[in-house]
Amino acid sequence: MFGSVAADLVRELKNSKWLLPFNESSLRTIAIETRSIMEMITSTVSQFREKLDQPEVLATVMVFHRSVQRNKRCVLAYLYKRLERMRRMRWEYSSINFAELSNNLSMHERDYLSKYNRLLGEYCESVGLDLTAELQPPKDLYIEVRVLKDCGSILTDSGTVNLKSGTAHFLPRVDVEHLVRQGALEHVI
Amino acid sequence: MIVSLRNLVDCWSEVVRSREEASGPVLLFVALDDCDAIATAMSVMALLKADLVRYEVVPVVDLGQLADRFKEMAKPAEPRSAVFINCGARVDLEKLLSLETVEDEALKVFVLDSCRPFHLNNIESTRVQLFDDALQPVDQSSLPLCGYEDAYGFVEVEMEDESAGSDVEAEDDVVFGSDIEYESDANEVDGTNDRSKKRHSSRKKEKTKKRARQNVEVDSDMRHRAYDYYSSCHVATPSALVCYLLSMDLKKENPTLLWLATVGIADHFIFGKSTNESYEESASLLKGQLERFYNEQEAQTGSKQYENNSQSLSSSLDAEEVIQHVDEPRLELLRHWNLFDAVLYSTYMCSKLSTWRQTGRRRVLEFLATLGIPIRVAQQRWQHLSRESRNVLEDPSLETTLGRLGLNDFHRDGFVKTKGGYKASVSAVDVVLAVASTLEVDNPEGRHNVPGENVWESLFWKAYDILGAGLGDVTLERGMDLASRMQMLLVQVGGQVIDQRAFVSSGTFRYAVLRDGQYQEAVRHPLVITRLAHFLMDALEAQGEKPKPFVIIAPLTEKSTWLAVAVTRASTYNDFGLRFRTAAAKNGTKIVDHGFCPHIVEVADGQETEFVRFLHDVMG
Repeated sequence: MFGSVAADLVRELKNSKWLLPFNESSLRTIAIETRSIMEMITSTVSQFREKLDQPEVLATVMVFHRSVQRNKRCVLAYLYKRLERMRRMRWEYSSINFAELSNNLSMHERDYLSKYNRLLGEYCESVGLDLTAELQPPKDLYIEVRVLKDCGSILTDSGTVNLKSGTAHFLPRVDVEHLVRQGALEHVI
Repeated sequence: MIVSLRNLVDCWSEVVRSREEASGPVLLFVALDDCDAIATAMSVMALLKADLVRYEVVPVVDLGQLADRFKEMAKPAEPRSAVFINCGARVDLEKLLSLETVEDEALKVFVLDSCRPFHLNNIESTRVQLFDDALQPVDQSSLPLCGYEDAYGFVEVEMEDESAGSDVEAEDDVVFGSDIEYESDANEVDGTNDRSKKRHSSRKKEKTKKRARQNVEVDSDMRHRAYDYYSSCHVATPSALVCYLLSMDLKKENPTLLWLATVGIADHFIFGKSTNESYEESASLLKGQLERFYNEQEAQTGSKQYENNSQSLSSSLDAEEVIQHVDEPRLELLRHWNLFDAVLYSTYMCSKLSTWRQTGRRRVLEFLATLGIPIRVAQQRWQHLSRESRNVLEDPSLETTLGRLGLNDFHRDGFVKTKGGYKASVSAVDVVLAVASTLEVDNPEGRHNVPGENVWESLFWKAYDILGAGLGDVTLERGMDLASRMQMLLVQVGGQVIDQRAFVSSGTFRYAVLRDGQYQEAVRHPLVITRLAHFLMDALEAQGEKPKPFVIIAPLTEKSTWLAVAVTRASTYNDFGLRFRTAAAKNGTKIVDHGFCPHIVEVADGQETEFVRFLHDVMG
């Protein structure tokens, strides 16, 4: 059936929260499918040039055309969603995690991301503020956290903090915000 | 050094003050097995939060872990100070933590512990500050000399008169012997055996001997004084209450801290750590505070409890939650159960009416009839009970009627937290039970997981969440469920022990050995066993037996050792810690402290019967 591969592609993206490896083979299959549909359209049109106002011919062309449109839309949605996720991850997890992530990206995506990174970096530098440090304006400067996974000692502005599992800490939010987001610490409200 | 109530604020400023070399966090070490400790930790944390001081909380299981964790945390973090909550007052902290080796010389340790007596070295040490509940600083000269005890506050002393005599002689001999040696040395060196010199030296010998004997007598006297000091084990004011007093001095008191203080005193009441009088005293103090908090609001809204407007209060307690003082019937978990079960399984009613027996059940029915509540109504959930029926229970005129059933002090001071609009309420005592059972029993089957360190810690934080949970919170409800299950178990096992006469009454104390398989798995933890022992003591007393301390020995399956728990009435000293050690020293039983109470120890497997036998001898 036309468009099934494309629908699968979108579904795959929807079912995962993380960025899955770039599915190049599916994209290629979709492109081939689309091209074959296009050929069918042109052949139909040239075959029934005189009877183009017949409803059955019109319907056939219409179905082919819609299939093409649908494929295109699915692929675009796939690409766009991936971009969106990449950007969100950049904001949420800072740039450190991107080494492992880049295996899952296509060449163009990697290119996009590095440029995006550079732009963001330049902007933050010119403003003099790390915009990615805090996504929401903090309610308190200090937060209470409970350590779920051992994080060893981390170095903060106010000294070393020994994050051993099973302990609780009250400390400046900026120091541990990234660990909270990674799920190693639990924010106690 | 001891900090009296007057100097709390000065001492607190020392806790939070940042020094040049250390502006790190305040380290809080919290005893794991104690509800009061959790409540105190919560209040201390609230106070630190108010000052925006960084802190780190470390739950600790026993003294060994305390020392390990202290070393681990103290080094890299450059802490401002360390606060020990309900742990460490009775042991020599300088030695245990090897404070001399800590690089930061000015690091001080503050101890907020309700365990008494303090270790004498702690009192002398300048680096250890002990929060005391006395208004006046303790007169140092009245204390015995230190140096006779080991790091755990154990004084080796021969028991009672006959052995005390032999002790003196033995030491005398030693002195004598050394004297001779010295003399013969002198002779050799001199190379003379002049008679006059000999006579002279023999006289000298006599003199030294006399002085030595005097010394030994004084020494043994001091030793006995030290022994007496360390055997005066008792529990002072709950730490949570001390912490509340501190917050009052800091002008930072609020209803949340007040609630935690009520939980602290309820904990001491439930686990028999405080006498009725001291409980009432603390309760009336808190009651006075309560009136202070809510008077303004009453004036504003006119309605007493349900419509309060706490805008005027700087309280972090949920705006709708109100604490009330009530004359509470002594039925545990009443608000989370039905009246019938609460009566049937309340330790107070049980010990008075022996409700686990058929006759006892009949008396329960009689009791309900006295109240004028039909059984069917009593078996409804408490929330569905009509207001009239509830009011009957709180009626002060009930006392005279209940007197006939032998229930003289049916009511006691209690504190209840209610929420406007939401009909449920929770009492401080119930919270304590929920927290205590959560601390010990993990999953609903009542079976404990193999306790790795992390299990204890996760249980600690679970219990902590229950204490901090608002009304209607799921965690709180779950805790209450667990508590009610434990309560039923407690009464069942208690009844079983009494009916089968599974305890031995011997001389000055009674004991029971809960052998494997015979009793429920869940009754394997110090808090439950403590409550069980208190229950047995009450029940036996109600049956007309002489009041005696109770020792329970139960297997600790996961460690394959035995747990020995001794309880006494709060009005007498619980010196079983020392007695256990003396008994163990006599027959070479290996015992290890379990948790932070001296009167809860672990006995090596296979030696438990021996241990009890020697305990008899020690008790004399």
